[in-house]
Amino acid sequence: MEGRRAELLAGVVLAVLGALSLVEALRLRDDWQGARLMPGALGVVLVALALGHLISRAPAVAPAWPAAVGRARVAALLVGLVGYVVVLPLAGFLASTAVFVLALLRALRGGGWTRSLALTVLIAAGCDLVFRRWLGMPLP
Amino acid sequence: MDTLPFLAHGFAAALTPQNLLFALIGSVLGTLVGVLPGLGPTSGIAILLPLTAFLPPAPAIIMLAAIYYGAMYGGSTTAILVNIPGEVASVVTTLDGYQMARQGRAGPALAIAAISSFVAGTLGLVGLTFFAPPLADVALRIGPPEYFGLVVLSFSVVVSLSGPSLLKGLSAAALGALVALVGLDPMSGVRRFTYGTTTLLGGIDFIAVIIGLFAITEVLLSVEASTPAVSLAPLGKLMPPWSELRRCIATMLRATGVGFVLGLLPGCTPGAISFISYDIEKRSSKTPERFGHGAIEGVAAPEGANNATTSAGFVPLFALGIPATPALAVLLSGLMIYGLQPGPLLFEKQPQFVWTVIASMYVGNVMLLILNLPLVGLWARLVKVPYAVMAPLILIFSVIGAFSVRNSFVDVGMALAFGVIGYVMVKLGYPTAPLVLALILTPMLESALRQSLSMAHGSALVFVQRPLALVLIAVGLALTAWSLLARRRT
Repeated sequence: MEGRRAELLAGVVLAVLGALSLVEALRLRDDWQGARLMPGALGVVLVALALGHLISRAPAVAPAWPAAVGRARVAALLVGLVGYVVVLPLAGFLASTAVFVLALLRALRGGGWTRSLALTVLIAAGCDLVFRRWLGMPLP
Repeated sequence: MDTLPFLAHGFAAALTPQNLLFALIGSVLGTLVGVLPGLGPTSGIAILLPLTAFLPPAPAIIMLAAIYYGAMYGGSTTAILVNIPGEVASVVTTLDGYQMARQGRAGPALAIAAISSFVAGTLGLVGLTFFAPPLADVALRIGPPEYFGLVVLSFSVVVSLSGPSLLKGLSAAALGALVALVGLDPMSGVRRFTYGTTTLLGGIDFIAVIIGLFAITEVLLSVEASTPAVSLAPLGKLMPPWSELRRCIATMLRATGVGFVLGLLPGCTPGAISFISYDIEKRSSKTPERFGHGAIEGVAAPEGANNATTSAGFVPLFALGIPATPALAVLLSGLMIYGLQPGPLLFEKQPQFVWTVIASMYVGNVMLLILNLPLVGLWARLVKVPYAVMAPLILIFSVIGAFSVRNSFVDVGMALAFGVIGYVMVKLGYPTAPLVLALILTPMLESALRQSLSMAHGSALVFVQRPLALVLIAVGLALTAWSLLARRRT
């Protein structure tokens, strides 16, 4: 049942993307052998695939979503990652990377603080040295 | 036949201490560029191009060429060990290479990648040495309709990459095609799917998508399970057994043929060619069900193909002055800085330079094999690094890799978004490989289709009137039908 629901949802997403593609094709001021060709053709394909999902009679495989603990871990990691990317231009590469690594090490590994701090310095300073100083990447 | 004496002179020059040193520096840097996700050979060569200004032409181009083919060797390392393709051409290596690593066979996977790269790279150089001018002439006769046929043929791979559900595989491919359309229209320059923003004008970068779909998705999956995705089993032997090596000989030869022939065609990228080579290997196998579950031929085929492609790319570059890939375009600018105009006269006017560079590529391939094989044990041990340490490293490399493409946090945001999309796709049973393939092929498809229609004044009959285009389209359709029938049988 859950598998069928996921397929219906995927069908709706594909239908929306197909509709967006068709609308974009119509919006472009060109002929159907020009700029409109690919968005138009792809829109038709996406709508056909959406219909395939919606009317499919093949047995649906249930999604392999994790248990509550697993979901929480994924959500926490994503929040941490987004936070890291947001803070990076503000706090600079070295500081934001150090905080991100330390948080991740504590969450995934636990154990003693000394070891976590040593690993944090090693990883953050190592990356800063290689990418920012040696390779000259314009990281903030 | 003047080739052999010229090649002998080339070797004499390539083996001088100065040229050997720069071939070595280029090989090491290329391997590093390949290992680091996001830092591809194009940017690697571009970054180092100004630094070579103080060098004479031969050592400078030797070093830049070595970065290019060295990156193809290095790209497989992270693809196999942590499911992050260091290079676009290594995306398909993750399919079986990473599975081998998870089964405790990272050593044999890395070793076969190095051996296959060496064999195909060297055989490709033999092709470059003896057939460059005539092959370049043939490649020049391939027009947009034939390219369209080639892309149709390449798209037939989607069926075999689709996994258990064809509908899901095709949907993933359609999503990839949609992503490829974002940005400026390649022919008329009109904005598509940008919705009034300027950030999407340059399109969604391929590297950001790959980093998201592979690296970030992989970390999310591992964190969710709270267990390392890599094997806890002993590493075992680092070299593949003779029985497997023997099985891979035919694979390497096929991959060389596919990679070299398609690599002659400007616009046929190593990424697309490695997918085609993988598909051919799967189709020709008596046990295709092993592919995607750690088949060693699934590593040998794409790695061989992308290295043969690299060698083949120098044929149109030297003989016609046409760069087949963006990295070779940067290399071409390097040649022009030195006043060397690639084209039919290059072999006549600058024989010493051309043959020195070609000879140095043979030497560079041997250097890369010598560098890579002893390192297999060291790299393979990386899978034993605790995941709590590996995960932050992968994520930091992902952020840096996505950022380095255009020095933009928009690309980093895209990588994060595709990380989530990849995670949801895996959970719902949608394969990610067709998305990547469609992302590579759609721009080629669109350009070839529209150029063909334009040259035929809008008539689609151009695909029937050009025999080679017709044959390629027919073979593509036949292979698709064959795959569909095979799916039905199983």
